[in-house]
Amino acid sequence: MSASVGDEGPFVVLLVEDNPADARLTQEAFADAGRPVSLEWVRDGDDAMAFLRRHPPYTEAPRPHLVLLDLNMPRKDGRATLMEIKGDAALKALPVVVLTTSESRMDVEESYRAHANAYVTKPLDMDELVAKISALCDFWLDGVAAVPGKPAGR
Amino acid sequence: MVPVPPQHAREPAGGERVTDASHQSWTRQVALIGATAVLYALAAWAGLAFVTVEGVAAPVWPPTGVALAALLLKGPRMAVGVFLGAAVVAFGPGGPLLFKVLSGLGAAGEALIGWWMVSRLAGPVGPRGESPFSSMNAVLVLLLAAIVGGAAHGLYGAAMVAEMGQVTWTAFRDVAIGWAVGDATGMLLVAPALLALNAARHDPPGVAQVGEGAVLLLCAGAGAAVVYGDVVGVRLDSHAVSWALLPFVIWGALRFGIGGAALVGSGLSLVAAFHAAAGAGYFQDAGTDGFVSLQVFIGMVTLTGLLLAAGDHERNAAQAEVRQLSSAVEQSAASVMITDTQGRLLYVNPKFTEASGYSAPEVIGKTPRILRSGHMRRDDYESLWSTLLAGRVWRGELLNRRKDGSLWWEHAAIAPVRDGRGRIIRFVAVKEDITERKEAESRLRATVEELQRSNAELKHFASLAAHDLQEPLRAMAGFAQLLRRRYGEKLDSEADSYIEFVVQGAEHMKALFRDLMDYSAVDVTPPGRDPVDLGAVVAQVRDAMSREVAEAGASLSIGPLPEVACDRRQLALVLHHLIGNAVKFRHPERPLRISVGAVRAGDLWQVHVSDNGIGIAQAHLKSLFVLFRRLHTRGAYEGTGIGLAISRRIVERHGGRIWAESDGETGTAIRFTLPDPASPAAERLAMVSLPSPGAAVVSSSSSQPPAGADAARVRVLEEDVS
Repeated sequence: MSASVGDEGPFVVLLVEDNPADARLTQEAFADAGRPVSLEWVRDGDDAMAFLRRHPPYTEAPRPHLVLLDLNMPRKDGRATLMEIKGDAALKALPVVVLTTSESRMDVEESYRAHANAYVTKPLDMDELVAKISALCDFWLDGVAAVPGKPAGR
Repeated sequence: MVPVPPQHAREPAGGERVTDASHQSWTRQVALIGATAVLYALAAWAGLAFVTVEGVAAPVWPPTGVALAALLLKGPRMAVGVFLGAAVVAFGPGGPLLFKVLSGLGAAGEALIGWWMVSRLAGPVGPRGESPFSSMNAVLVLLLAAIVGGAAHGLYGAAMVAEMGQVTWTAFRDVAIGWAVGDATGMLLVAPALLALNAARHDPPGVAQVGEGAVLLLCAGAGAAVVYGDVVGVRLDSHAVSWALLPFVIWGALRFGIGGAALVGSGLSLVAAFHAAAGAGYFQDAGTDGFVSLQVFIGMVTLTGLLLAAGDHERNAAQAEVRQLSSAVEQSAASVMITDTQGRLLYVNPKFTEASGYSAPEVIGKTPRILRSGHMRRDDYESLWSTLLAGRVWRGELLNRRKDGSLWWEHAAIAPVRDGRGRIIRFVAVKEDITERKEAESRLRATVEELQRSNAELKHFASLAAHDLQEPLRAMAGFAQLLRRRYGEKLDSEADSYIEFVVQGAEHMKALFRDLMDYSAVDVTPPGRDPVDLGAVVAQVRDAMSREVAEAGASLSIGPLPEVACDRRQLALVLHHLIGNAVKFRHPERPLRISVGAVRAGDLWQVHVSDNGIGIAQAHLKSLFVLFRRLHTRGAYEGTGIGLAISRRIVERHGGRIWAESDGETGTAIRFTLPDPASPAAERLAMVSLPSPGAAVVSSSSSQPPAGADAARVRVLEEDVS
């Protein structure tokens, strides 16, 4: 992983989140976690798919290394987006972490069944959020090998 | 019939009805048999007094009727009496013993044949002496029995007297026929007459009836004397003029029934024989053939009368039944309509008029289409007609329109009525007004829909609380904290405490949302019916709460715990709240001891979570389980006020109860019941599938413990446990 960051530019995280306040908090948490990531933000599932597929207006979008996906969103919600990503041969290798308010067991089960790579609930407490984001970064930036094919699209 | 030397004899026993001879004492049986023998013999001597065929057979032979009546009234054992009576009479006092025995056997055999056929095919004598010959079928059975019995006895008897040399074998034919006809008419005329006389003992005729009967018999006797005797000085050709006597039989039949017809017929037969024997009238020298044909004639005339009487009786009975049924239909609380196969109304009852507003004359000849409301689907009527035309009963509900235009609902059963050949000739509809029920149903449906809608809204609200409402909360708390992170140095301690209040408020609201979610989730999850190991669930909760328990310095003792029927997660939630409460409301000055245990209470297990905490004042025990009910200010004890409400909801949905016991000082015991998985109560959980928004309100928290004995055992167990 560190290899890909070092060799091919910053680690790109796509945040799919309809709530600007939550998006901002997540962004601040990344900042406080002290990780050098490039955070891209889209506001719903449709935009996320356009971003990932580089459809207009995202024709110049970078390939993300990780997707942080909210579940409850207008238009295409996180569940449908997750299934679309994991059902798309070109995208299904992309790690997707569900980041949501929902603590519902059903949502958790459904997400893992749809091949989510992790399920993280958004804490209320800023300190906890920073801690979770740090853990995510530790894992996905430093802990695991990158998917070899992923950056090929650039 | 027959003659001369005597040959059979017998007679009816007198009277009581006989139901089952075997129940009577043997002395009585012997007396009855003796009486039968005597009466048979007397009737035989009377018969022998008249004309004989070849000197051995009488064409009028009343004893066969006497014998049949005796067997029908007193049972088949009376055949012994018939045997004795016939044996005594046969061949005179000095006749050969062998032939006396053979004669007795013949007479008894004939009586048994007649008795068996009548009993089997027409039925027994009724409990009040009712004659079995009260229907046309029964009369025809009697005719058949008379013919079969008479023919058998005629052949037997003729062969017997020929064999013993009383007559030549050339006379066999005449003797057999004469004998058979005499026996048959004796049975046909005398038996119903005797049975009718017997029945009259139970239902005595009035003076007028007796008078009319006497007049009838006199007239018939006089008529017979004119026809068969020489009383008017002219000898008539009785074969033809006998028809003149038919009206007497009809009179007897219509006014006195079968007994009347039989009595008149018997009388005519005897009068004819009497005159012939006295040397008067047509038959004095018409020969035995002529007399035999006379007997056949009288037998047939009487048969006509018997059938007429039976038909009349059946018609009267049918009319009585029709009156009874029609009165039932008239008085019926249900509407009744009868239509022809075209659906045209032939009859409606008064209830129909009441229900529809149409009088009978207004609707007769019309079809029930006049009632159509226009609100039924065409298919409904089509299925109705196809069912009826297929010959089946249609049942269903119809919305009809009254004469005044208002609507009413009916539940109708419409059935085809068939004639004797199976063709459908009518339709009968019986209909019940179900308007009130329909209205109640529709109100109920509306209420249920309303409840379901509000329930759905509640659930929607709960999911709102869980998701959408948390986002602004997180924004408040998150940015407040961010403020402190980014600008901490520029704020003073007061500002820090304000931020802390914001964060704490948000945390508390989040806890509220979470518990509310749990609360509403209870209704969404169907009650669990599978056995759950309560001990394992308690252990799981204890482990999950080990930090809180340890921090409180509490000791938790767990008794032996059973399996209960409950949803595992919900059961864990209940225990989590109860143990959490025990920890939260511990007494500041004594070390906390919590015990969990269970005892059997009928089909249920009663589980308790007890502590030695601060207790609950008596006044608050009942309201403890109400949503958002908190007994303490937030500063003193944290909490959302939802935990016990959730617990109650879970327990009640599983068919149990939950209540609290406390003296207000030394601790609290929360007890709840849950079904044993093997009990019927657990089975019933299968039926509790609908959300029950009302249930929680109704049954709230009763705080009585169950029976004293159980409560005592609980206490013992607690002591064991702790």
